[in-house]
Amino acid sequence: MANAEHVIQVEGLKKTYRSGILGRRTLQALQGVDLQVPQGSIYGLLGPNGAGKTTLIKILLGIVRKSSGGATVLGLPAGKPAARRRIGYLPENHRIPRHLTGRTALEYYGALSGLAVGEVRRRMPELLDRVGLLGREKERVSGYSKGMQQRLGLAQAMLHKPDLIVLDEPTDGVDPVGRKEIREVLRNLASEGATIFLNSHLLQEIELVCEQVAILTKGVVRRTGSVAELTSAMEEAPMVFDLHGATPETVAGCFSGHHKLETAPGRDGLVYGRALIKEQSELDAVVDALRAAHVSIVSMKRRELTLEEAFLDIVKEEN
Amino acid sequence: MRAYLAILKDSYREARASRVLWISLVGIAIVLLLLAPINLSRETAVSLRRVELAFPDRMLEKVSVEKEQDGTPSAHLWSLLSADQQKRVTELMEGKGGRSRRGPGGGPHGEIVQTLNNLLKNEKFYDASVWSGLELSEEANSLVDEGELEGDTAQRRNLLLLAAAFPEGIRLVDDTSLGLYYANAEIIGELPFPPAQINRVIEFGVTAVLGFFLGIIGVFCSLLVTSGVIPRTFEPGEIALLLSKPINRSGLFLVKFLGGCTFTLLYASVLVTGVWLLLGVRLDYWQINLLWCIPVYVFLFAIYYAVSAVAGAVWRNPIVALVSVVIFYIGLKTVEITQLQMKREMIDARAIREVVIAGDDVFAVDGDQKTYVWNAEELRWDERLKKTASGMAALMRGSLAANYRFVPVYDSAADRVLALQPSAGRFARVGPPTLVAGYRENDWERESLGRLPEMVQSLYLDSSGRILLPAKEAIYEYVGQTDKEQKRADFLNNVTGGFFGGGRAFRRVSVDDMPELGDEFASALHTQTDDLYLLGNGQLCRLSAGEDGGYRVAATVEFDTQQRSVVAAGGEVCVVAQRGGRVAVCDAQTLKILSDSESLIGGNPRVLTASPDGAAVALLTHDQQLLLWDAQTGEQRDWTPSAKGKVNAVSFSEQGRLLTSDGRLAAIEYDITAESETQRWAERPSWAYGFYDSFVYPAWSLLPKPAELTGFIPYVMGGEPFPEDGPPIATEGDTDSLEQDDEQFEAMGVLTSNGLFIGVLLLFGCVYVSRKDY
Repeated sequence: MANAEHVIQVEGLKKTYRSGILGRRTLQALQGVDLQVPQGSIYGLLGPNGAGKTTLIKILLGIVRKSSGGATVLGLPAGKPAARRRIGYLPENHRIPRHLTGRTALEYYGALSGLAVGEVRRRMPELLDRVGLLGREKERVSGYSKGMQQRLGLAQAMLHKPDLIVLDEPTDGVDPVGRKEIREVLRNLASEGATIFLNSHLLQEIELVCEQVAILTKGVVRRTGSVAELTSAMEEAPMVFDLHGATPETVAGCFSGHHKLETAPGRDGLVYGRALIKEQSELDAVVDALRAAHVSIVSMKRRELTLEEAFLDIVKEEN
Repeated sequence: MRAYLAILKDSYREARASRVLWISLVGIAIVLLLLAPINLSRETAVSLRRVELAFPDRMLEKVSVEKEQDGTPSAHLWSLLSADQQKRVTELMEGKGGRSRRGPGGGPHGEIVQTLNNLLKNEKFYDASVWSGLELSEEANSLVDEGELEGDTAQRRNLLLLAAAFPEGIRLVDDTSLGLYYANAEIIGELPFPPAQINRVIEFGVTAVLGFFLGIIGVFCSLLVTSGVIPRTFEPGEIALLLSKPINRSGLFLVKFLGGCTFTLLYASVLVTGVWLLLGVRLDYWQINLLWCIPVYVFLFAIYYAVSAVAGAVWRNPIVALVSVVIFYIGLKTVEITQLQMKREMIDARAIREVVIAGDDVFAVDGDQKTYVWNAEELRWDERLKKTASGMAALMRGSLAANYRFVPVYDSAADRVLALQPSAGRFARVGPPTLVAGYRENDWERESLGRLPEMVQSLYLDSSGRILLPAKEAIYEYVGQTDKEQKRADFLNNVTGGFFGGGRAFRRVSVDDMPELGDEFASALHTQTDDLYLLGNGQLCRLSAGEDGGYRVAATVEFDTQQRSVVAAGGEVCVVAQRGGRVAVCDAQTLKILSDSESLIGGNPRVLTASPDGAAVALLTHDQQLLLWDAQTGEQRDWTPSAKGKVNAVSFSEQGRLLTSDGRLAAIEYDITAESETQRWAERPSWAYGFYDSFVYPAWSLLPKPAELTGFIPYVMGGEPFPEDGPPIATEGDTDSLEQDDEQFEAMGVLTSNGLFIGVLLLFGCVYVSRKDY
């Protein structure tokens, strides 16, 4: 059921690719995807290669036909021209015709989105400034670097002021400064009310910019939520200790085997320890044992997981 | 719409960004600049043109007769020739001119023209005593009155005197001539055709130039550049971006296709407009229709590009798209050549075109004019009346005979078949035919009975068995000759090229007032009354034989057109069918027109014949339509056997049965009263016919025919296509035979078939891209 607050609503979406003579070879790219992308959010889509991320995006844009299930975009069936009119899309490894200049490319894609040339020209300076291409618009695209092409692609996706911007690896080939600028652009767009659906291999990028994340593996959405929710949901966050007055052997005697203790000598006689301790009672017992062995606990904290760790953990879990 | 216009504009930008386009445009500019200094200048004609020596044989004939008679122009000209030239002209008179070459100056004809033009420059050409007494034009008289002349004026005078002296051979067609100049430097002082024909020559030249630069180079360059447009569009990186926009996939494909055509549009526009301006400014030839070449060549390109576009959309590779076009072209040419060759060499060559009943035997003549007799035991046609010539002579005769019907006529009294065999005259023209016969007792071996004194196209046997041969000047009857006479006639044949070859075998049976029929006339014999009907120069005459056997005009009627016609008479009617489809039914006696229909038939008429019993008249057209008339009432009959297949021959048996062929190897007899087939003589076709019918013809029908589009250029400029061998510079004496197959340019047909092909391919492309996951 389409929800007005959800820009993208996907339910039980399936896609099977057929190939070979008479289509007898099949590949199930999506196996029942459920997803809701709230309006005005920056939503990240994560998944290993072949998980079905691009297939999902292409179905939302009508580039690939679904096999079954439902998908609406902006309250309209996915792929309908009316929906596409309100979407800006930057595909991965996109190719803008080489005979165009930055300016004519924007005029071309603007017209394809239904904009008059005058309107495109009016919006162009601000847009080019935003993506850092102002002053380079008269150059041929064939002379653009990968990063410049990426910025131009982003500009064309924003040109018609879409309600939803779908970006597939938007920072691919862009230098660190450029990435920061692009992140800034995305945040501004979100603040202006646009919804951004971001697909990136760079987990750090997602972590930095996305409010909500979905992890897709083998054609199924495994986790959704904020980055914090995803990382805190991990049960095996390790406890990290800085201990003084002990040898690694002494420390090891205070932990049991299933804590998977890892130690390393530190500076000034310190010993670093890392152990998986789930229950509070176990933690209390370990602290008591350390103190009984006259080991000083300089610091002790539960380390937060990164998104990458959470992602790898989920992927490992599925495998 | 804005989106699609943007795609179209992008295609234009893409074409504009191509280096090949700019190189091509620079090339075009250079060619046009090189052609720009060409100019034509109209001057007074001082030389004889080839077309003006309309009948070289008649002129040479006169020279050979008069060259010994002092004081005659012939003797004077002869005296001006060197010994070598005299020897050469003598050889030409004897028909030893050698092989005729193509081109205005080629062959014996051109050689004579050149000799005469050299004579015109000779200072001794004008001798008042020789040229006096001729009936001269006003201009010639004034030049003669001026006395001593020099240079071009003298040459002009000499030309006029020459034409006045040999009116039977020379027909001056224009007082002026055209000179070809390049930046004021003379290239050709006098072009070898009259100024009136300059437009047709320009059209031919333009067709050739555009055919090369647009039809071959242009299409190839365009394909080279545009073969990548659609594959690039459907590459993953570009198509995903495009399809995310609110556009239709089919629309994208079709507009990209149209965009690809913009390259050819640019190329063709520049070249054609340049040529158009050049012709207008330099030659004063302003033919706005020339601009039609632009869409025509874009259309031609579109056929190949449709293949490239579909291959590009499917495989998304420019090289594969280009290779697909090459394979398509080779396939198309293979099918086209196979179809053409099989049709020409097998289907048409062996198709029965004439059927004749000779006693118990059935004769058939095929498209190659070979005559066969039906072998009832083996169920096949066996060749009889075999041609006597072989090698080059047979080829030459075959080529000349293509315009004439070879119709055996059965002479039951002598149990033989008779026919007129076309003969080669001098100067690559058709000479008077030879009457040939085949006797049953000699197993129908062909033998010559004598050569006609003049051109005859039909022979008739009247009710008393007389062999009648109507010609332009007289009606002849074959009366036979002795062996000795025959040998002498054969000798004279060889020496004079046929002028005195008839000997005593033929005698005139027409009496004094033969109507002015012209070179192209039609004839028919009414088998009940033995009246002859002659139609020529828009006049239909009935000639009746008197008690002395001589033919006299008994009735005439005027027709308001002079189109080439066929005529037949039987029962109470005489039917006339004209080129263009007009059919008139006249009263057989008074020739009063009973009915006249301007376009009764779709195609041009080929054969019109009446049944010997006077019951019916049958008309066969080039598009294989067969019409029947009741010869008693003049009413057209509803029934024809045409619905039962193709009809390629029509004649009647002695009993009034209708004889036709199925366009292949079967001759069929119908009882037109019972309206039913009564007999069929059909040879079983070889496997090659099955191959043609099952594979070659269907493939040829389905595939487009881009080559036919080149016929559009002369069509839009002059209204009719050029013959394959050059511009149509007509000369007097050329035949306009109704026997020649009609090959009219079907503009709509060509557009429709090729357009349909493009449509089907594009439809396939649209369906494919619409269903494809990108």
